[in-house]
Amino acid sequence: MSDSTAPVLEVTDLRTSFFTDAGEVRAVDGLTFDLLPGETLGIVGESGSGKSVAALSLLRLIPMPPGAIKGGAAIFRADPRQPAACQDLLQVPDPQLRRIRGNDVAMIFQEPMTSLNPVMKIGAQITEALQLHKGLDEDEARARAAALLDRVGIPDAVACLDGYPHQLSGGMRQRVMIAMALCCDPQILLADEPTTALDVTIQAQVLELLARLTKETGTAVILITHNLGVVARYADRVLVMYAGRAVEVGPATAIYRRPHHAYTLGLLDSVPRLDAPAQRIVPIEGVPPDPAHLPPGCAFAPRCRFATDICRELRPALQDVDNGHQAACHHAGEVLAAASR
Amino acid sequence: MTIPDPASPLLGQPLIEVQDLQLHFPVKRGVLIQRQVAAVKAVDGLSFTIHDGETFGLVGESGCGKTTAGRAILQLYRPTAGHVWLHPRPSGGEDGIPALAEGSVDLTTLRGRRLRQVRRRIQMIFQDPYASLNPRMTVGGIVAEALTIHGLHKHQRRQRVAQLLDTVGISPALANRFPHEFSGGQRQRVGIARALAVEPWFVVADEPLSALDVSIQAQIVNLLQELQDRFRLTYLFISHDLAVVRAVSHRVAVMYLGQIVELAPSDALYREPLHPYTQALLSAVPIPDPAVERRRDRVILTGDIPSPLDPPPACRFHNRCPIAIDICREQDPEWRELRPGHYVACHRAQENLI
Repeated sequence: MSDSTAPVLEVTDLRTSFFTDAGEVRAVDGLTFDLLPGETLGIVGESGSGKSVAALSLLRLIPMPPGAIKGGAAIFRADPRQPAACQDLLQVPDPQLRRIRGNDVAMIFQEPMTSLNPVMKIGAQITEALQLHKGLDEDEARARAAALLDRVGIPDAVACLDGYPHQLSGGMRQRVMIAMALCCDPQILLADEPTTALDVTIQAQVLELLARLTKETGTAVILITHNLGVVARYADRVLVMYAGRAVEVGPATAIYRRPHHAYTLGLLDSVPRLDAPAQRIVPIEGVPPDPAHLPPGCAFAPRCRFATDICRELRPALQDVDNGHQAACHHAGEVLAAASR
Repeated sequence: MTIPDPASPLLGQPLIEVQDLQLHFPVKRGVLIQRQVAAVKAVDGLSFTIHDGETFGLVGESGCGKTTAGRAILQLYRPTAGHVWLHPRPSGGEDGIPALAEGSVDLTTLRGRRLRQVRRRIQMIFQDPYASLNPRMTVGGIVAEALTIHGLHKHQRRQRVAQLLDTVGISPALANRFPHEFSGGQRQRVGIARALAVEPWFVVADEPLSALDVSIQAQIVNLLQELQDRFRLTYLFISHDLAVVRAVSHRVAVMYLGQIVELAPSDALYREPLHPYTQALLSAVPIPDPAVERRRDRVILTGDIPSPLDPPPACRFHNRCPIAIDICREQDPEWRELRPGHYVACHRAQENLI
């Protein structure tokens, strides 16, 4: 049987909580999504929406305690042509997970200075992964690492191997992170705000590089960001998160042109556009809810101009609104009508 | 004295006039006998005029000197050279501030008490609302402190604080709470109330949105615009976010390595950027619309921003510029007005004119 479109990752009802003095904080509260081989899925949301915690949970990288993955599944298929051969990343034993992390599923973090080891040479940080996951010997690993640095556009790759992270600029460090993340040809790359700490001209360099390399290797990317422009340019599909849940997911053009969730529409209206003259931007009133005290119905209801009684009582489920496009909103039709005006 | 900007006939009289402002930070070597071995030219010759009621946007990447420029204008850093004139507003003399009753003042020449008096008219909103509010003071106390320093509203200070908090959208009932009890957006509102307390004319807003989430950024942008209309404020809006700057500014200046490379009315700058750096900067910002974004061509600059300790000679952008020619490596480009009100420092900019 051949089903080449089987998702490389299927996340179902992921729940991650942190137990604090203020009580249980439900950072991720029932997140469900698929990731297809080779696609780029953009996850957008504001701080505290749970997007980073979701990514960290997939690799079980959240600190436990105070954190705990309370439920759900993350089915990973290393080979999409064999859909039956799969593992649940949330259940596999630690030794097996260590073989997957950095090898099949790699991650790039926001701040490259804190994710590189400052007292270890750059070469050693890359060859470590190659020796561990690919069984290369030291010379092979070093040659491979130099080739990788060259590929990510580091000017003098061999010299860079013997340098330390602080000797590089922010953009160059993030290139090193990309080289490290892609060194084992992962199936999935989790990129958590990979360019937020960088200037726009450098951000453009790094994102173009990331898009080109992952296309070449066929790596599926989960691109986590708060920047709606970045997602518009690079994501095939977009998932909008609010208060720990997916509120809308669909093809990128559909999300931007035909939003069906009031939060998505609110976000789009609140960002000024570079290509439009002086404009009135419409903010979303209020502030995001405290994740320790989520309202009973739709978490967005207190800030929503479409909200009615049902929104405050019944939490909406993700429902199909169009081909491959789902939204969790009781008033999806009205939102679309407002967006089309 | 100053010719009103022909491209912005709606703007008022000049309020702030910056003339050849320089701020060079010395780099010293030596343990016992320190000597200066170099200088970081953070701000290296800025000249521009901001009109009464205008929002003047200053954009650039980190390290270009935009924050230093804002602070040097307010005399929070003392400039190495240059002048910053504060002109009286047409209705300015009547409130009896001695420094301005007598006409324009050069902020760079003021010291001590005189500077403090004038500071009432020039205020600042800071980037990080977590760092710029004293965590041990109540928000009411933070706003009241500004009044105390300037000796204002001695008798109805409490009412005045309540009124200010209300103006920025914070319930006066919360005046006794501490900054940590507020969200980032609310703290930024408190910072704005503090700046407004002394009835300034001119406010430097240094990246006032960068620490905030997008949905909250829009709230603060709208608040700043509302306050501008209400109190006839003049802003220097410093930001790295080009889309926000377009949305709020009447005119925009683009900085690179301590210098302004282009200055124009906002729409002209974004519609028809003439400097290759501005063009690259604009093309690097993705537009939140997949249909538009995927058809766009981009100018991707190579390399990083050079160190301001050792900027390239002649045109400072020449080593990253996609269209640099020999003259760019040899001569400083002249500051030229290529369209009414549209200035640019580039040897090849006129080739962009159609």
